[in-house]
Amino acid sequence: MILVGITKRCRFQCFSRKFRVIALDLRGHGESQKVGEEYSLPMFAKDVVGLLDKLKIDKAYFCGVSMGGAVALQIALNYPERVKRLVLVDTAARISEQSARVVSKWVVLFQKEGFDAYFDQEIKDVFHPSS
Amino acid sequence: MIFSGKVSKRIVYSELNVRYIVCVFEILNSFIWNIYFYLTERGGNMPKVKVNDLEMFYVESGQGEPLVLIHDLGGDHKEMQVPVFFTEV
Repeated sequence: MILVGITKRCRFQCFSRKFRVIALDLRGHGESQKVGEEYSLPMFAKDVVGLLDKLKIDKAYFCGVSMGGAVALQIALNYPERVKRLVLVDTAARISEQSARVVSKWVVLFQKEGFDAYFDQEIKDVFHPSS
Repeated sequence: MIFSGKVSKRIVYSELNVRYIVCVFEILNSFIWNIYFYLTERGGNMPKVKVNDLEMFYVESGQGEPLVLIHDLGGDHKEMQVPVFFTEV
């Protein structure tokens, strides 16, 4: 039997019935400190594993969304002994050259002309003109 | 005719009552669950730890095997706390 429903409870809370759930902020995001200018995936992976060390967790399940999925993959590459299972949501192991070119164009636009110019360009690049 | 009219009215009233009760129940239910999850969330108000060269923020809840949720570019831990559509099999 399949029941389709809406929950008022979130993913975090749903999982917390069976798991010890840890939701973190990567460096430069949310309430974590913003250190340095340029971030990389190995840097994020090192931070996540550092947090596990502080919490004295040996092995964990990792669930990553989008860039978080790439971080989870990086953890699996660099620290395979820390990974029990991976859950990868809406992510990719490799970004095509075309996508990389488009995104680096956005970064340059953001740095030069600010958020509004970047956002307009992103809407133009991502959506079809008729929509 | 008068009899059928009464019956239909009675049905309308009872439907309204059921909907009203369900609404109140749903509101109370979500309220109680939210309080429960708020109280069971561990780590205090500002769970920050020194990791490498930065102060890192995290929230933690539940017991069992550890599960780490990693947000996407430009997001944060709150992204994992929004309501979602789900299917139960």
